Order: sequence, then C-alpha cells, then structure tokens
Amino acid sequence: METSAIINFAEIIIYLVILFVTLYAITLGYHWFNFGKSKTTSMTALIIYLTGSGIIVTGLITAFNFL
Amino acid sequence: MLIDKIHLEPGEEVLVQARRHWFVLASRIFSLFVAALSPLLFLWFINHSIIGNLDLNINLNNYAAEIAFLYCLILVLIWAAVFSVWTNHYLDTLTVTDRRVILTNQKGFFWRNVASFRLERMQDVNTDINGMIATMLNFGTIQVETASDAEEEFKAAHMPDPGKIKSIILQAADNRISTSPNHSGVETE
Repeated sequence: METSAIINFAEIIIYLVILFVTLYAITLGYHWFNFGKSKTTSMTALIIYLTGSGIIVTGLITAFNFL
Repeated sequence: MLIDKIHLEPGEEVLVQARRHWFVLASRIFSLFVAALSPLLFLWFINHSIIGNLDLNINLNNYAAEIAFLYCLILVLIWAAVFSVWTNHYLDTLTVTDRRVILTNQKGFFWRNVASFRLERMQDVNTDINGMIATMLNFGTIQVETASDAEEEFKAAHMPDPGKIKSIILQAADNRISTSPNHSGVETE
C-alpha cells in the first residue's frame, strides 16, 4: 500500500517535470528568438536544452521503472 | 530579433554591440556544475564515512532507483538554472550607436530593463577594472554620467575591453556634438 502510494506520487512528479520542461522550453524559445541577436544561436541553445532535458527525463522514467 | 526591438532611428548606425565577458558566464555555469556533482559527493561521503564508521546495516544499493530518481529531479532544476543564467547573459547587451547608448538588462524571464541616453547628454565616461582575473582577461565596468537628474547611474558591468568601448563612446559623442546644429548638443529651431 505504501509502496504503491510512493509509485503513484513518483508518476505524478514525472508528469509535472515534463510539463515544467515543456513550459520552460517555450519560455526559452520566446526569449531567445524574440530578443536574441542570431536565430542560429537561438536554435542551437534550444536544441541543447531539449536534448539535455530529454536525457534527464529519460533517466527519470528509467529510475521510476525500477521503483 | 534584438535590433528590431531596439527600434533604431532612420539613419542610425550601430557602432558596437557588446555582451558581458565569457568568464562571467563560465564561472556561474561552473558553480552550477559543482552543485550538480555535490549530491553524488554527499552520497559517497555518507556511504564511506558515516555508514562505514558507524557500522550501520544499510546498503545504499537497495535504494539505487530512489536515489537515481531524486538525483534526476535535482538535475532538471540545475539544467533549468544553467539556461536561466545563459539566457540572462546572452540577452544583456550594450549597444552603442552614432546617436545613443542603449543598455539592455534581462533581469529574469519576462523582466527586461532597457536604458538609453543620447550622446549629447553624456558628460563623463569611466571604466573600472578590479581584480586579478579581470585585469588578466581585460573586462570591467563602464560607468557613464549623464546630464540627468536621475540618481541611478548608467553602469554596465563585466564588459570586455572596457577601454575600447569607452573610446568608441567618446568618439561617437564627439562626432555627434560636432555635427549637431549649434555644436552644443541641443537642437534648436
């Protein structure tokens, strides 16, 4: 019972993290493309952020599967 | 893009556009990198020092999934902080045109301060390079005094090669004043 509650809580955390990463990416994209000097640099920064976030979220989900 | 947001006047020419020195960004990202490693160091310390010395019957390997989950949560926040620092660094610019100086300060997300003054109102430009690293890498603060009643000074910190930027501002101000109608910096009819 307690273990299932922890797993449910962890699942909610994962959904919140994905939501946070998505909103943060939109915010970053807005600022970089709106106020940045170069579109190439802005796109590079956004790709780096999404790649790193993807790796971290993948690790999060993998760890969740072993809970 | 940035130039569109600055709204240059017709015929206005950008002379130089500078950002804070790369060392400032690198030092902040390095501190976040250390923060990302610190949970792992803390775990190692706990495992080898406290658990080992106190003979506690705890095997951290049994909690590897939980530890990995929590560490990934910490990494998400630190990764976001890295890009917050990078965004604030990248969007802070000092733009010198042939008519004015514009200092754009991104204080945070959805919080942007743009200060500008016309070169005719400039009275004095000072530079301040403080510290061994700043001296070796040649970055510092550019401070401009204007003919304004505002108490807040126009100050751009951590600018690369402040001496060169100062000379560009002074040259632009001289050119502006010499080309203005009555050479006093004040346009009259």
